[in-house]
Amino acid sequence: MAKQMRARELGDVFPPIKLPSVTGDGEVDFTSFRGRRLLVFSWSSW
Amino acid sequence: MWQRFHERHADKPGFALVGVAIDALPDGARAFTEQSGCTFPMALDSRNLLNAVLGVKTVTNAFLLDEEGRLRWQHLHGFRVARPEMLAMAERVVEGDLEEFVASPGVVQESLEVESLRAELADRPDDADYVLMLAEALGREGRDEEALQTYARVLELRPADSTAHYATGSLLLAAGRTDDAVAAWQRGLEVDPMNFTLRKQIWMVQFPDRFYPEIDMAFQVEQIKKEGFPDLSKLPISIRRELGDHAVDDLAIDV
Repeated sequence: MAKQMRARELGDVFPPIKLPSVTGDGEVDFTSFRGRRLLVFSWSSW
Repeated sequence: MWQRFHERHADKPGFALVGVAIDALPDGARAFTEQSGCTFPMALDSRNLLNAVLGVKTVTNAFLLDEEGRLRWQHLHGFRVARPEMLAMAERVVEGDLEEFVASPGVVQESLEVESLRAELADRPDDADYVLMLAEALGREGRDEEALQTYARVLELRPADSTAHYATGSLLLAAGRTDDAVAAWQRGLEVDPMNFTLRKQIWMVQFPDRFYPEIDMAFQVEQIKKEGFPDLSKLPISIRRELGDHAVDDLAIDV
């Protein structure tokens, strides 16, 4: 569904993503870190 | 490595670290996370949303959002915190002056769900299913006027769409436009006369004392008798039983 989404560019406000926690105990809400610098890294176990 | 990075910066109130595992299933990512003793938030992105936002197809990536949630730095494709030059870069964006990276004005973005649906609709503007999903997403975000306009588009494409009729009436009712709400539900009944839910909405507005504080089932039965209902099998079993429809005795569950 997200195949044609416009890629974010530097300076853009990041969309309000919420993702489940890997451990299944809640979610990670990107907007909840407003007011702080948030460093995000992505990886994969495969 | 990321856990050590986190521990070095854990006492900085203006900084946070988040990891995102882009895996279809949680098992592998959960095992990795637990083995590493990770104490910072680790999310699971089974739908590949993050890569869609960044416009990439691979991991590993890293990026920084500033205090206002703006994307201020990114290293896409092959970011390895174990490599000294990349670790140094990560330290700089945490500690340094962000003005050196970018200072362009940001644009307020729509929610991911709404934007995804709009992107999909650019390819298929007349797909009623997607227009309906967009209307529902707008409604969930409280964007009622946009939702109403979008439901209207659904009904242009699919005039008998009961969901759109129902939702249109509900939004109008919430906006205090009671007469318009009833009219919307009645339009729904014109194209879907066997929609009991739409009928009940109208009754609830016209005869609120029959629904609160208690639901008056006998009233509903009388209304059905008065208005007529072409196909009794489309009614809830409780109503059919009240109407003396003994066919329901063979049915195991109410609906």
